[in-house]
Order: sequence, then structure tokens, then C-alpha cells
Amino acid sequence: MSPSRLTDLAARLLAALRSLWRGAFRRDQVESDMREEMAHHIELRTADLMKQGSSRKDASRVAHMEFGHVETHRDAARRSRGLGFMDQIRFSWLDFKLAFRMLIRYPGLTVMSVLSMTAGIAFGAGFLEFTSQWARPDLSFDADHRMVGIVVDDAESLGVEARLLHDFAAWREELRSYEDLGVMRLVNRNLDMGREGSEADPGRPLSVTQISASAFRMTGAPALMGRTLIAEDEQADAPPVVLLGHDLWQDRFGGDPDVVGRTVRLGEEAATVVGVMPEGYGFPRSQSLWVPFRRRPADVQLGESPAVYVFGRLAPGASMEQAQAELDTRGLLIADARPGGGERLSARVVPYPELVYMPVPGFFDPAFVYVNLFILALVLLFCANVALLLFARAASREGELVVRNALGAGRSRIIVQLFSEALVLGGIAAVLGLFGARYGYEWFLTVVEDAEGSSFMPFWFEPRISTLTAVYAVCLTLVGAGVAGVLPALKVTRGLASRLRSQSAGGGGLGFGGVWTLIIVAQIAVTVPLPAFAFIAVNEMVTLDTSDVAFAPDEYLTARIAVERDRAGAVPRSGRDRRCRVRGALRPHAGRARATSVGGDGGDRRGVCEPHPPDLPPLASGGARRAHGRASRRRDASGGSGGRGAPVPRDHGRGGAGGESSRLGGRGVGGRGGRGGPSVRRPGPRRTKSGGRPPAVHGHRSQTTARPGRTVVRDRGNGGESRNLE
Amino acid sequence: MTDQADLLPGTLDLLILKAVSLGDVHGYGVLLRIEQISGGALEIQQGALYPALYRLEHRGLIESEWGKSDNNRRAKFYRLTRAGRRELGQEVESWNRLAEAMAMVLGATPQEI
Repeated sequence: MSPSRLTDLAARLLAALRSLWRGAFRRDQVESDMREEMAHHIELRTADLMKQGSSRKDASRVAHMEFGHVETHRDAARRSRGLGFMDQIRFSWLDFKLAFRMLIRYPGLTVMSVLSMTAGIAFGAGFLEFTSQWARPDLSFDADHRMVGIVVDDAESLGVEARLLHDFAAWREELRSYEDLGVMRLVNRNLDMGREGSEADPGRPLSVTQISASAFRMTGAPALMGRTLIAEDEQADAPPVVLLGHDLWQDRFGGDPDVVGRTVRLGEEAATVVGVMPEGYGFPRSQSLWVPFRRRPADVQLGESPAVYVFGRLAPGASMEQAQAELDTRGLLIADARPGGGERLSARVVPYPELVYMPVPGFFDPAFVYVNLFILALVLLFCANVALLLFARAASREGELVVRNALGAGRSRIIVQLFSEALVLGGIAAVLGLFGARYGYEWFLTVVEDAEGSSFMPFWFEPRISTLTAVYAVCLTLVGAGVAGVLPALKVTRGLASRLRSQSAGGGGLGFGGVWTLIIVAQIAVTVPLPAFAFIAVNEMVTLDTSDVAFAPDEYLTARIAVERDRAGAVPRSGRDRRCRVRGALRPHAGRARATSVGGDGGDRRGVCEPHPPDLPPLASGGARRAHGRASRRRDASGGSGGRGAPVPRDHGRGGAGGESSRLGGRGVGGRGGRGGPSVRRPGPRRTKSGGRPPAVHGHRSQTTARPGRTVVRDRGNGGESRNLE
Repeated sequence: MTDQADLLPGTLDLLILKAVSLGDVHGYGVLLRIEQISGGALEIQQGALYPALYRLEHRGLIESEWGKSDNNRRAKFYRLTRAGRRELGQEVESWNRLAEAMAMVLGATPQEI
């Protein structure tokens, strides 16, 4: 094609677009111009005829006759400008007025349709909001995406090496890709507020974040009251201080305006409140109590570092790739000196959200796309239901539509009118659906928090509706209205002219065609199995709750007792005493209640509790049947058995003590566990987070660790209601 | 039988392009110009002129601009675009070929066969 021809083509395309744009957006001007131009033509012709001797009246009459019917020519002119189709599909207020009238006229259909579309839009919008908050965390303190974490993978255990205190100290000195580096650790402590309220809520365990003061520099959030933690607080001889989160300040301190300067007790230590952080501040994940991180590498042996998380802010201009390259070049600075060598370890720089939550998937991650497609299909299914209802209504209005068609309304015009009705339904459903998504999301977060702890979901997961979600809801509404409105309209308006003749002859009427049969069959195919799936799901839940666990779960309580180590890393006597007090409290009821310890440091086994309370390992006291071999015995805990587990029936594992989650803010943090204070719950069947069952191998934990243990109490009396043993 | 001839379908656009190519002109002027050039032999239904004008404008073959007419009234004047000029040339060529062919066919005698 020659260049001149291409130029012509482009010019003609541009002219067509300009003409359409004017017709669509400057319609009044176009109409006015047409009127004026045609009037001018008639006026000039009238003047010419008058020059030929006609009177004005005759000349005007002849000029009008020669011109023809002005409206017809204007209509033809509109069509020749490409506006004919636009006129057919153009929405008018009349369409929406008629649509609202129809909603009122058929209230039952309206309610059902709106509810159906609302459910679809709420599902779709809610899930999109969740995925977008996951895939694109909105961290106000990290607008430039420079916050990162350093994770060390252990190729041997296929896990993560978190004993990084010595590495952190070296990295902070050596690495140049970072503007700032910090370290944090989560511990559980009982918070005793020191005065009013302390008796009403004695020592409830809380997740406490031991954190570098640099975290507050990196996040740049000023304190709401008082101050944040500062570097001086990290000194070993500095007075103990604590920084409160907004929610904690409100919930536990009643929003006391004089809280700064108040002394509280965190575990075994008294600390002064130095400040309150603003609402919504939950760094690192969803925490609300911070104390300075004071552990020094010199305090602990190499390889016995506490599990910590290392985070930092990249230096201006430094990329994650550069930071990774620097880390690769320098390696794990003290890795080789680590017991077992450092060859199995590899460090990687990750985006901050990945450090404290989960890998951040791409927005178009296949899993997200598939689930979104599934939800879209669900929305379409809901809309197909509405389409059936609207089709039934349209069929009942066949006479009206035929007459409208006979009066000049084309098929497109009638389709637009029916689409407008679906659009009004969809618009109402969109508003309700967005509300549903917002509050449904809040409910979802509440359920997750109830199940997994208040700090499980990171603070950037918030029940809100972003612009993206609102736009998505609008798109869903348009698609839904298209399915619910246009499909029935296409069917109803097919062959309107012939149906006019049929109606005149007293016959005619609409019938289901192939498409509608397909829709109905698809709906039935999808909806019929749903009750079956629901039944299976409920049955499975019931089975989980009621299945035979090979012991009498009603007779058992579990108390999770964590003991706070002292600075030398030893389990203090006060901590052991707490366990002993639990055991001692049951001693008078030895006839009907017995307790034993599972996991943890087993302080009572060190001979601290004297005389030794009646004690049997849980398997023996539970009377569980063994699949093979024998149940655990007391001497297994002495270390002589080498920690071997005894096989038991599978179900027995469900009531096990379980271990402390190593996940930041995961189960075991918050109200369910606690150092220095027992929390009690009933053992029994429950699923793990992944939906599977907890490990079904039982063994005694090493007595050399200070991990929280669980005391299993068999109570043959009242069936054992959950209660605080202290 | 009158002296005026009916327009062949599709020829109105060609006539308008030709009339406009002779100089900027408003709608009524197009009509007068065609009648004047054809000596009144071609009669155009006046109202049909405007849909054709808008169609040509929509296709980018002519463009318009508001100005003042002889009677000092606001009038819309049309002019040929570059694409319209090229289109006119092609249409004229095509029409001439057709006219020649028609003339040859209609002027044929038994001796020529």
C-alpha cells in the first residue's frame, strides 16, 4: 500500500472517529447544526422563488415541499453519520425510569434478582480485595518498596535457620546495601498492669515484640503519646521500657491518657511505659507491645542464638538484586563458624511482607487467576438465574414489546431497554455487594483471628474496598447485567414482526430455545450436587468433632504452661513453681484428677516438685489402645529411650499437646499460650491449619529446652470445663 | 417525458464531490451548482442532499466550516479534502470507463459484430 493511500486511510479513519465522537458527546450541537443548515437551505430557496415572482407564502410552501420531510432527512442524516446504531443503543433517562417502574411492579422478582446478583458481586469483590491486599500489600511506611528481610534457608532440614543473632551483628557492620538493619523476636509475656484492672484480668499472656529501635526509624511512625523506642533503650543497663500499641492501650488500659510513665509488669520484669503508637500501627506484623531487643551476640554461644527475624531498609538507589549480590559475595559472615558448618545455609533477600507472612504472589499468579475465574463463573451462574427470571418476565410482556416494535422501536432499542432494567438491578446489587464484600471481609478476618490468633493476619489486611475492587465490581455488574439482561432480550426480541402477526391471529408465544435449555441444564448440573457437597462437608466436620479418638476427650483439659527463662537462659524456679502449683492444686483430687506434662522443659521432672504428684504419661492415663508395641512410659522422658515415639492409633494424635508455632504471630502467640501463665483448653479433634492432622507420633521432648510445655489434666469429675487453673 | 434525468444510484456522491471540488460552497450552493452545470438536466431531491453531505464528511472526503453566506447569514461551507480529491479522481476515471463502455455498447451496429 502506497504512503499516500495510507495517509488517506488514516485521514478517513480520523474523520469517522471525530464524527462519531461529536455525535456521541456533542449531540445537541450536531442536532442544532443540522436544523440550522436545513432551515438556511429552505430560506435561500424561498428567496430564489420570490425572486422568480412568487409571494413569500407560496415560495415558502414550495420550498418546503421541494425539500421534503425535514425529520425524515434529519434521521437519514444521523444514520449517514453513523449515529443510527448509537441512537438505538443509547441509554436515556426514560429507560431507567421504566426500569425502576418494573422493579416496583415485580417486587418478588426484584428481591430475588438483587439478592442473587449481590451474592455474586460480594464474593467476587471480596476475594479480589483479599488477593490484591496479599499480592500488593499497602505498607504506608514502604511506599518505595525498600523494606526487605533476610531469610536463611537450611538445605539440610529444608527449613529456615532463624538463629541469626551473630549473623545480624556482622551484617549490620559489613553490608552496605542497607540504610538500616534491625532484628526482632517474639516472646510471650504476661502483662500485669500494676494497678487498677490487674485483679480483674490477672496476667493474661500477650505477644511481645523484642525489636531493634531502628524499626521505628525505618517505619517513620511517630508515637501517638510519649516516644517510640530509641537506641539507648537497647543498652543492657538501661531501665526496662515498653511501648504500647493503640488497641492494647484502649483494651487493657482503657485509653488512660496518663499511661506514659506508668510501670507495668511484663513477666518477671517491671517496665516503664514510654509511649503509645497510633491506631493501625502493627509492625512487624500485627503486634501491639514492643520492648527493646537487648540480646547481644556475646550473651549467647554461637549456634545457640534465639530465633530472630532480620529486616532492613535498602539504601537509596540499592536494589534487591544488588543487596542479594552483596549477600552472596560476603556470604553468611559467620556461617562457617557455626556448628555443623555453613555450607548447608544460603541467605536471600526477600520483600518485607514475605519475611513476616507468606511469599507474595504476583497479582496474576495462576492460583489467583483460577480462583477469580471460578468466582467469575459463579457470578455468571447467579446472573443466569436472574436471566431466567427476567426472561420469564419479558415473556409475560411480549405483547408490550411487540407493540413497541410496531411503533418504531427497533430490536436494539428494546434490547437496550431490557438491559437497562438488568443494569438497574445490577446497580443496586453492586452497592449491596460492595457493602457485603466489606463486612464479609471483616467477618472473615475475625474468624481467622479467632482461629489463629489476633496477630495471625498482618496489619495490611484491612476490611476496606479499594478503587480497584470498586472498578472490578462495576465490571462484574456490567457483565452480570449483560448476562441477565441482554441474553433474555435477544431471545425475546427475535422475530418480533412475525410475532405481531401471530399475536394478531391469536397465536404465537415464546418458547425455550437451545441456549435457554443449555442454561437451565447447566444450572441444574451445578446446583443439584451442591447439597450433596454441603452434606459431605458438614458430615466431615461432624466426623472430626465426634470421631473416636481412642480416649475419653470429655475427661481431659490441656494447660499450656510456658516458663520464662532468666537472662542466663535458665528456667527460673518461679517458672517451675507455676507448673508445680498446677500439679499441686490437683493433688487433693488425686482420686479423680491426674495431671501429666507433655513437651516443654518438664521442670517438675527435675525434682523441683516434691513430693512428686501422681503422674502418668498421657497415653497411659488416657487408656488409648496401641496399634503396635507399647505406650510411652515415664522413663522415656529421661532421655534413655533416645526420643523414640511409640505408635498409637491415628486418632490419638488429635488430642496431643502440639508444639509452639515458630511462625511469627502464629498459633501459640496471644491468648492461647503464655509464658508464666497457663491457658487451658479442651483437647480433642481439630484440624491443623493446612487441613491435615497433627503429627501422630508421640514422644517426650528434650528436657534441655525451655519450650512451652502442655500439662494434660484428666478430670473425672465435672467433665472439665475450660478455666484458668490459677 | 421531461428534460430532467433521474440520477443513477450512487452518483449523487460523485456529483457532490465534483461540485465541492470547484470551490467552497454551502449545501444549497451545491444544489445550484449541479443544476447549473447540468443545465437543469439533473434534478436532485433537495432533502436527500444533506444525508449525502454528512456521509461524505463522515468518510473524510469533504470537510466543513461555518462561515457567512451571501445573505449575510451563518452557513456551513464544504470543501474537498485531499482524500476526497483522490477519491474524486478515481470515481471520475471509473465513471468515464463505464460511460465509454456504455457508449460503445449502445452505439454498436450490426456491422461491428
